[in-house]
Amino acid sequence: MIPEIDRRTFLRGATGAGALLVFGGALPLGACVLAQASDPPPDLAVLSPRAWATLACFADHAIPRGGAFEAGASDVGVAGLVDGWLVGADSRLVTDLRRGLALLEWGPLLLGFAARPLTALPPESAGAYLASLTTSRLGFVRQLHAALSELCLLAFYSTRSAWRAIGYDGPIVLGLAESVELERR
Amino acid sequence: MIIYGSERVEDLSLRCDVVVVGSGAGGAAAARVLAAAGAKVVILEEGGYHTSFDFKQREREMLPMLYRDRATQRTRDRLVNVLQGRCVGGSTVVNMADCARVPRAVLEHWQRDFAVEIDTADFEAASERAEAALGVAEIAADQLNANNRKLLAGAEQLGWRRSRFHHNRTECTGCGFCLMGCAFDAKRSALVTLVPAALADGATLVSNARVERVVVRGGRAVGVQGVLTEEHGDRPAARVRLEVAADVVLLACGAVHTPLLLQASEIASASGQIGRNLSLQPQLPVLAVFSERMVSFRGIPQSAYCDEHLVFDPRVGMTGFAIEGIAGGPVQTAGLVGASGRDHKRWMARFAHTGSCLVLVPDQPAGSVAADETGRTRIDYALQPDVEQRIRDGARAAARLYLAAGAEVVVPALRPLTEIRNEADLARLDDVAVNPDATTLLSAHPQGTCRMGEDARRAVVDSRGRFHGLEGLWIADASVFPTSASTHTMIPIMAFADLAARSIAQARAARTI
Ligand SMILES: Cc1cc2nc3c(=O)[nH]c(=O)nc-3n(C[C@H](O)[C@H](O)[C@H](O)COP(=O)(O)OP(=O)(O)OC[C@H]3O[C@@H](n4cnc5c(N)ncnc54)[C@H](O)[C@@H]3O)c2cc1C
Ligand code: SF4
Repeated sequence: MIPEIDRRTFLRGATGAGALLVFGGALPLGACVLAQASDPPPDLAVLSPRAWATLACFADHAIPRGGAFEAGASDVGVAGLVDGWLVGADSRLVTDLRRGLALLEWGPLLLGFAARPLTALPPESAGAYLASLTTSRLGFVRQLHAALSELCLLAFYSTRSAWRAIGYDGPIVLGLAESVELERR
Repeated sequence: MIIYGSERVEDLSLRCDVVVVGSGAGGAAAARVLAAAGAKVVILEEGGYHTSFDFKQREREMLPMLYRDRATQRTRDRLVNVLQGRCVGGSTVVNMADCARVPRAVLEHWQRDFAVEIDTADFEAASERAEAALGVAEIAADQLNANNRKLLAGAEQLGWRRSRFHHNRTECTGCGFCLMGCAFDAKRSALVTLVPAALADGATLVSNARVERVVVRGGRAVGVQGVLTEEHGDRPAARVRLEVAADVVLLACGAVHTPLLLQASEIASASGQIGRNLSLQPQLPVLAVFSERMVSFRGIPQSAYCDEHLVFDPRVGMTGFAIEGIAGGPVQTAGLVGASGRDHKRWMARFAHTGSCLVLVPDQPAGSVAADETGRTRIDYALQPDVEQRIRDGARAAARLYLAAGAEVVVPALRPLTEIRNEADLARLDDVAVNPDATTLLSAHPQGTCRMGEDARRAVVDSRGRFHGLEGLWIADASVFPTSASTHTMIPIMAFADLAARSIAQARAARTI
């Protein structure tokens, strides 16, 4: 699903940015709207807080609040839902995702877009940077954008808020959570 | 007997007449025939044993439970999403339950050009037996949902050939969740038909049993080795060892994993064709928005088709394309809309007004499967120019069809979004690219990686699935088709597996195995 980002590809994306990566690690998380507004969930299973924040920024751009319906990625915590979904995923997929998110986070520096990582960009710049990835010269960058969008859509459109907004009345049989709840009562 | 591999705490060692690896269309059909013939059969299935009780109709939970790699398996260039089931019952548990036979012209093409010696009448009889086992019947007119009715109406308007599918459902509630496993056992998949029949005749089923190697000794296959695994995870951790000794090893892991297992076992074919000649029969989704509420996510998702543009070419088999109704849940639909941000939301807000279809394109073998050095599956597939052109033609035809049926706007699953609102807009599809940036094609019918034929220099197995050059090894799944079956593959695979199993039973009776 996530384009394979082997070490060579990753380094190609990161050429010349080693120092910035090290330096960048000290930058604060979160000028991006989302990361500003919320802390990472305490029980992240697969993603690091920074990877979570990167994904949250991306999700906010892919499924913003407002427009045809109000609910957006940040209302349902898409990045946290993706983290949960990844439990049990093939470790190679998880590695690709982690590398992809690192590339996304440091991409503004690597691609000469800005002197800050994604999560430290103001919202408009973050949006412009993320939008620019769809027309990147680098195939794996375009594909990374497409793959992350799919992950975010999967998480978002699995939620009741999204179902309500699009007129989907949901499953007919009880889900695990509902069954447990009924049993408890 | 069922052995739940994920609960087993000790190594498992079994001995039987025939070990069947994989419990999908091919494996289950073969196991049923062999068990009925009195053979001691062990079925090994990598996936878990899940029943209708577990099918919760939620994409988020069901994709990891029932699909290979949680339905993310792709070709190396990411162009095609190759969908396969991974559970007891295999892909038949998650499939659309459409039942079709191999077109006679395609079978004749195989007989003529690939030295396939299957008598046409025998294959028809085997197809009939497969249909009887699944209770196949034509979908009734009153079972069509709005989307499939629109498809037929549009085709009628244009004077195009069209029909309703045959299917293997009984007492279907029309809930619409076929792709997530049927919570009502209305879909007569292998899970609820062939596997129980084999068990009733004494077969043993081992779930969560990942076979890693075919054991070859003294120039013949004598069994398999593998592991019993944890229940959860895309590649669940091994718990204990598994070993099954058998007179016959029958592989039915599907067109991707049967060649991988042969390669992992270092079993070569003089033909050099293991893992080659992959057909994917790619499909392009096309969405259409109507002014009225369609509620396409309810009702049988795929019940009607238009085959006006399918043509037989004696040199290559079936070409052209078919247009088939389809519907998925919100997650699946969201993934098809080639827009992002608020634009994407604008489309999803019309979800309940959306209908969709698939343009299915019979292709020529153009791919291969192998594992890389890390064990990761590599599916290489080169989209042929004529297939790409037929995908474009199909997108145009599907758009015309939906416009004729009254759609406000039609959008093929392409990036950037290409909106078709009238006949004049159709030209916008003339030059669209079909590449990983522009779209994701779907494949539900991977086939052909261990092709059959009597000529051992060109084929991996003979016309009954017997491996050329290694005694005791048979294959009965989607991998044996020399070219695309050019239709839905479940019944064709079951028919072939039925014939393969009968040959094994006869050979056992004659003591030639
Ligand atoms: C979403 C979807 C929709 C479809 N819709 C239709 C339809 O409407 N009509 C139709 O005719 N066809 C349809 N098909 C196709 C059809 O279901 C398949 O072609 C058919 O089931 C393939 O049969 P098979 O035996 O080759 O493999 P499968 O049915 O895929 O079974 C292979 C089994 O082998 C197991 N396995 C693999 N490797 C190992 C191993 N190493 N050890 C143990 N077990 C292993 C797998 O877990 C799997 O359960 C659909 C398929 C999909 C995925
Ligand atoms: S539509 Fe019918 S066959 Fe499909 S899941 Fe619902 S009840 Fe089962």
